[in-house]
Amino acid sequence: MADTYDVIICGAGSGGGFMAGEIAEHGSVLILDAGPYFPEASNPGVGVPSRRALSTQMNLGTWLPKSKESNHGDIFFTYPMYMDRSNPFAATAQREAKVVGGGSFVNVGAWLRPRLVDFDGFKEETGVEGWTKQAFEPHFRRAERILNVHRDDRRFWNKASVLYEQAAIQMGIPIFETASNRKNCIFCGHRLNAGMPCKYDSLVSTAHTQIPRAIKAGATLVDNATVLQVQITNKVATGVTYLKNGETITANARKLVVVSAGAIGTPLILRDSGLFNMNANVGQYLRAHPGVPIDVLLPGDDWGSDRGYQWNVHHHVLDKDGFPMDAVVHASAGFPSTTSWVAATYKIGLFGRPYKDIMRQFRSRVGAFIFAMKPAIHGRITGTRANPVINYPIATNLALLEDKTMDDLVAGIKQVGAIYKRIGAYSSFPNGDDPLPILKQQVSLFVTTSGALHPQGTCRAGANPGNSAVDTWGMSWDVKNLMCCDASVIPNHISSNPNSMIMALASRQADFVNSQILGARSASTAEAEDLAAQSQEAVPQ
Amino acid sequence: MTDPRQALGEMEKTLSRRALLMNIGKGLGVVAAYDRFGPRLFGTTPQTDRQNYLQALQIFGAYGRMVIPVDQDPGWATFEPEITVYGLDVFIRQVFNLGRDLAFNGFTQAVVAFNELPPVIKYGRRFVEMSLEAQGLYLTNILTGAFENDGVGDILGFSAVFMLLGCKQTFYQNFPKHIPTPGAEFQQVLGNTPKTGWDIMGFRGPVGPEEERALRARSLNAPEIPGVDWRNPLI
Repeated sequence: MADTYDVIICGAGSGGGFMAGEIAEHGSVLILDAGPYFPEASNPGVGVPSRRALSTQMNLGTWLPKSKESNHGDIFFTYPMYMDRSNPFAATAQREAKVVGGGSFVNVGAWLRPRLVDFDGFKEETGVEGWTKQAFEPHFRRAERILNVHRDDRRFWNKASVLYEQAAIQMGIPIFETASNRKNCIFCGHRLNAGMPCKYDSLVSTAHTQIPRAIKAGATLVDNATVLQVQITNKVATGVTYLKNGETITANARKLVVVSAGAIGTPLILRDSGLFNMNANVGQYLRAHPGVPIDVLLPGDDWGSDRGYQWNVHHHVLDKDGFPMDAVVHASAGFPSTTSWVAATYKIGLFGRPYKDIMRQFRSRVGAFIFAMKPAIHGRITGTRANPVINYPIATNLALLEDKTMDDLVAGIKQVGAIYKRIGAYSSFPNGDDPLPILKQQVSLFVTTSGALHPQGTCRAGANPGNSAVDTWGMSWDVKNLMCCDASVIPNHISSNPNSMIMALASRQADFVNSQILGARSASTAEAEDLAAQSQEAVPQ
Repeated sequence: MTDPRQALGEMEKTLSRRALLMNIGKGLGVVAAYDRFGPRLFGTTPQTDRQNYLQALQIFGAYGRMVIPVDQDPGWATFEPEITVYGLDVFIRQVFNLGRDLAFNGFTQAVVAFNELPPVIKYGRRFVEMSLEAQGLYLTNILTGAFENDGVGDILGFSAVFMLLGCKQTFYQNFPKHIPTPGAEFQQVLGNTPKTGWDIMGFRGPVGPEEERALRARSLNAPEIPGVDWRNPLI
């Protein structure tokens, strides 16, 4: 194996994995990932033995951390995240995928775009140039084409989603179909058991698309390789040191080192590499999306909520004036996704008769998830990869959430409850009609014990090194030939789960790498030139 | 003016109760927080507290009998000690305590305190010695904050641990008959003898080979609508 490459990519998830596929044919590329790679060719909707076994094993707990010496599980990095600085009990286990394909391999498969206002927010937050809707649009489209992003025929929606959509429209709430990156899904109903790779390979991740493309173009993939640090000499990134089978190996990079280990992993690697001495923004501005489920009882017992694809529709919670708030609702879900969480975390029944009743009613239960997309606070990441400290102090000393998050979630509970009531729900939990203090206590308890998803912003892009860790292209302000490419570079909160945004920014940064670093035509340029050539050919001479 | 000795007695009584509840509520979290530095500070490798562990098994098993979904279900009692060992070793030790022995010891101590609390505060027998009804009432009293005017958050925190355990296990694991053998392609979905609550309720569990074939036949060549929903003016 050669020990010098043009580009070394640390982390083959949504960001690094996508970039690898875009740049591999233009230079020599080494892809490192801490998790395993399942090299069988994808067989969408059927699966391959290794991936099926992996998914089946989830219930055995094989994805869990192996020992106290390491937070490296088989499929996830598991980090303790502190939600309330004053109370260490309010800590949750925050996970990041540790498998080739990363978050794109294990997420729920709901594909949402950021809102237009998010692009304004990028500029307002850090003054970053070029992060516009117009600039990103071709990259979203490229990612959506590659990942088979689509909406399902309504015959395959679950019944609760159909009724939820109708009720919301009748109430004047704009509601939209949720796209998804799957292929040949058999609608088994178990995708929402988050953290469970699709047994049938129907989730189209970078492991199924861009990584094989990169390997075919000559890239070298080393899986189960833990990156220890980026080698930096005279403020130039020159390579990467990683651990493989107990052996410490250093690979050299001629032109670029890309760190794409996720919004938690990337700042930790950079901290281990000494970056925090150069730029105080590394590890700062941790953003995330606290969320709560709502679970209702509907008449009848044939909702089939343990089968069928869920989250077919989504909408933003509207305020009293009809303007969208910073909360997104995914509907409709049900057992085993929301019911169990509601029963567990709101304690409507932990034991005895109430609990047993809930279990008996699972066929009549459906629900939805509500995410607060723009909390007014941010956290930070310190420590090292071996001993990370992740603070997301969203709860106050009174154990209640900060006000904006609370307001968004409570408004969501009230609105979603009203929609379900229109469908015919005769009981809901949490109940938007409950006294506000009770509602607030329930929401706080859920978030502080269950965590916040979608970490982002920990090496954010900006206009100058004073407010950001990287520039508009993800290039480090402080170290030459060093790039970040994952959710960590997102400058401000986005109003969606970050998977689509990560792939779009990876596509955009890949264009930069191809044209500015590898001296090749960028994919965008190539597409434009091809289109021009085709038009030329079409014109009679 | 209050008799100082009486005040001291009251204070001690209150503090000791408070301390117990604090221990229950924060034992896990505080120890988890210290765990990051604990082994280095003490210069030793922490070991699981065997005695507390064994007692925690009993208590945990007693709790398990309260969360069986269906009355006819023999529940955890039938599966003892397997399900309790699994619950403690996999879910508590690995999920909640991230594989850290010090934190795990903190949890088992908290569980033991939970068991020992009733006689200490003159409430009744130990949790494991209570009738099923009394156990339910005891937990209800804890969850409703009947024991303490303050520190409710701690008690809620403690209950959160238990509820997550109960739910995780009864919902997702369907222990022990429905878990796969290592490397298996399918989870076992055949009926148990005796039947579990899930079987009695008719929960279908994970998709098995036959159902997979049927679902695939149904969804073969399902139409797809490319891209996102462009009716959304917000994106």
